[in-house]
Amino acid sequence: MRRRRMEEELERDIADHIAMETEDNIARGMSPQEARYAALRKFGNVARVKEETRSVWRWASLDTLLADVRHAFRRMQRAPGVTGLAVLSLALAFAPSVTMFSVMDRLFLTPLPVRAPRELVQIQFRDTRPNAQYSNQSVSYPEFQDFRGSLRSFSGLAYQRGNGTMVALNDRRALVIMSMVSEDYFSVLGVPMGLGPGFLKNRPSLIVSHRFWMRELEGHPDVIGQTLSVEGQPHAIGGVATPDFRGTDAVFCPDLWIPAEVSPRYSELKRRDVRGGTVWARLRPGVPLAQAAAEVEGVAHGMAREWPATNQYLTGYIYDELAQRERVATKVTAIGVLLLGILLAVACANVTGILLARAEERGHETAIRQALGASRTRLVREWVVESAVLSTFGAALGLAGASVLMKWLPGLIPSYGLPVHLEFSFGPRVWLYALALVCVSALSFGLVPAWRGSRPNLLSGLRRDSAVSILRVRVPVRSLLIVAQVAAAEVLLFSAGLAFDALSAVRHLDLGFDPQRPVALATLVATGEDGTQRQVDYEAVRNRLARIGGVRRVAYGRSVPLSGSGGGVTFRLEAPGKEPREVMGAYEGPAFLSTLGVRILSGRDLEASDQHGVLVDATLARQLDPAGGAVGREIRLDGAIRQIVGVFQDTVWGSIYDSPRPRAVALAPTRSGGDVTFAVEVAGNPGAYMATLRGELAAAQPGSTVISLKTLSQHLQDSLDLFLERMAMKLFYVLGLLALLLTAAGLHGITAALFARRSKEFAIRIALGAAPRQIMGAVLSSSLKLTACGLALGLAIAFPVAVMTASKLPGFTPWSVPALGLSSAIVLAAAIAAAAQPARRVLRIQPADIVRSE
Amino acid sequence: MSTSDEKERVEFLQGTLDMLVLRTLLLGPAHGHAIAHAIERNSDDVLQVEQGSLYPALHRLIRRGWIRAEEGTSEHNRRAKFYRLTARGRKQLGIESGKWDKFVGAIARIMRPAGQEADL
Repeated sequence: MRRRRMEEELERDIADHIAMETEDNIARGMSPQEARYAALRKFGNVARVKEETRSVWRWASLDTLLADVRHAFRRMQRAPGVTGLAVLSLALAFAPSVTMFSVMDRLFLTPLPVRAPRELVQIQFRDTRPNAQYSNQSVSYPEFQDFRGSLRSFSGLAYQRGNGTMVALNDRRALVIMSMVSEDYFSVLGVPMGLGPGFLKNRPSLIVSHRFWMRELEGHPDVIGQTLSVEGQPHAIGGVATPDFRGTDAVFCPDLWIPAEVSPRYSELKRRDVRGGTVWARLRPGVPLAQAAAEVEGVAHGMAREWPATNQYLTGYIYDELAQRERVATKVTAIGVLLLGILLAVACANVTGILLARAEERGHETAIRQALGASRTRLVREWVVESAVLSTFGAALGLAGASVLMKWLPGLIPSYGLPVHLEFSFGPRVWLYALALVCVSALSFGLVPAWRGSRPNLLSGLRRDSAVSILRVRVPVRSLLIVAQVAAAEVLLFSAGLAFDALSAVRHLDLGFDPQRPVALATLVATGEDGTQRQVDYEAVRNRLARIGGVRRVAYGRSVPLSGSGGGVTFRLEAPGKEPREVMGAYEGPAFLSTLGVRILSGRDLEASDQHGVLVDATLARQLDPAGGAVGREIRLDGAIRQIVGVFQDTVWGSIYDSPRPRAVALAPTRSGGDVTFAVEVAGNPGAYMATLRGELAAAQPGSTVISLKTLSQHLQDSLDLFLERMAMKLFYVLGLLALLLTAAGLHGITAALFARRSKEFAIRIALGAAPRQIMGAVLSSSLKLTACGLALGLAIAFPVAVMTASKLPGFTPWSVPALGLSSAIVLAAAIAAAAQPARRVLRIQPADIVRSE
Repeated sequence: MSTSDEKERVEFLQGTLDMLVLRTLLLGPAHGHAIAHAIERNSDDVLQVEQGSLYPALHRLIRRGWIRAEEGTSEHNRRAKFYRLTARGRKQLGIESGKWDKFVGAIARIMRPAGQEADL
């Protein structure tokens, strides 16, 4: 309102002024018309005066901004195709960028919501033996108690160990992640309770996560004091954690926290040699780290003296876990943002190209406006506003895409039956990142065309035919952009090809077992009505499954190769003439390894009568007897004498990237609690037996839960290593194709601009007798030259990186002809396709029309 | 256009227009056209105001609170916007003319040092 009045007043003021001057001029003897012209000349450019006066008004900037936004909308409406292309390019870059950033945010950037995190450290053990299998050792619960009893440098110590476990919830069972903690865990970390008092003093209690509370307990505030049965033992709910506390691990988020001493696993936890716990310690303010470290070492020495059997070689040290996480987070985020930046740069380059072409088209309009008094700042601002509106639209579309991706992503992550709660969402940091993307992109593709397009160039701008010359310098800039885009697309597609190669190489790696065998794997846990773990009669289940028609052989085992974590147990190995040491091992049923296709190199597989027999792998056999006579020898495992009955080939139990470790396999009991895997060898396709197997397992062991049921080859596909490789490959492909799409749009744009700029010249040349096809060839080849430069640049970047990576991954070679040829062919084909359409316009040139229109 | 010789005209120094407007308004409220004319006339037509450029200056002075706009009636008996010096404007004029005197004195001393006749 006020603004309009001001405008009107200014208008009237100026009109009055000119009227008065005119009257004065008439009084001096001029004719009325002459008088008015003289007055106007003397006054100067009315539009510029208004503009300058408006810029004095305080709110003017906001108001003209709105006008600029409206203007930008109108201009975008007039060119929907170009606008759509630009918005789509941006959205294609924004969606994956924001999604990946939210993943990084969730995994790396979200700080632990603890009080004074700088005071928090971890206490760990280090094995001092030079040939120790694991140099770092975690802490057992009794050791934690010793530390807590003796250490004075810390104001508090907290213990935590996680497990997947079954709980009975009213009438149903659920698999949850349980974290066993010391009862002062929450107070030492300084994490407040969301609801309730926390752990109760007088009876077994637990704390549930906010997520568990919302999902399983419907977010009822009166759950405090209610009873939850965990593996058969009733626990009162003492508290609900706050929504932002998801435990101290980034990926495994506990659903329940239970004090270690009332947990169902305490009988196991109280053993001094059951390590795997994390000890968080809060430094007392003012105590130097060196002093605390010395004290930890001293206490560990005391333990080594007192408990030589378990602690003889262990020394204690302080590990700054949170600082380490911060370092990793910084590195990962920097690399991630850089990679995503490439994609964004491609999109921005593309939009810059589009806008530059429009700046050229609008050279005439700009020149007219400058002649009428529009200042350069004003013109530049309009461009930047238009870019901001463009990138806001792109961002809106991109964010919508990102929110779909975020919902879809957790489903891609294999959970191995564990309830892994990974959710990605828009946190404040993600919003900030998205905002930064909008600003950076708006400025990057807004300023260049704005500066070029608003350059004062009245004379040539006003002459329609020479609008070309306004942007003469831009040709190398745009060409460089295209070269960079082609290079980026080539880098990504080449990487995707290499990842694909690496994946197929993994299929041919010798894993030890044979993933092509027609075998189904069924893993189950048996629980009673109350949630207690029941024993499973392995033999009974085995016999039942063996009666299914088409089943050739059934075997059971406690640990399956390639299960990510490494699975299995640790044996203390004593052999004559050798230093006692620990080796990895597993308990498996008769013929389990043969069923999986693990070759027995000498001797035989385990049989039901081999209570005192053991299998060793080739590595361990070599270590025990380099001469090759390991079969028949006797060794001690955990104190019991066992005879080696066979040697099996080295098998990948944990990760394919680990070097082989010596391993021993002993006979599993015929019935036990815990989880067990049945390997069912069938005739034909094992996938066809899934429903039958599920039914038979349920009938054989009522109350059991089948955690996973899949074929052996599926097991390989689902393994963490292959999953990560596949993810990398998919990521490279998706990003590469996005980059390619953007590059194609850019090439299309530059070729179209080239054609527009020189159409008159082409027309004249055709009129003088040049063959249109020849000219088209010239237009095409100028685009293809850029593509070739880009390809060369891309390979120059990608190849050294690939060579460096190759040294770290088995089965990976950068000298991959398919990866190289295919990626280059795809990029080249896309370039030709993109440039051909505008180039073909040469064929449609009607020389007479064009020459006449000028 | 004015009849005075083109060579005799002087461009405005940055910020001097504001001072001249204030000085003109010291004599009493005036509308825009009158201010422009007063400046031209009082400088013996040496200073040629591009009259339009007066308006951004006037609005700038209003924003700083040195002058005030009000409705009034011109000598030709028509309604016009009159600009009046405020108390703060009067004080500012004092400051500005003090600065101007110093500036002019300094330039003069450089251009015509004492005891030396300029041969310009």
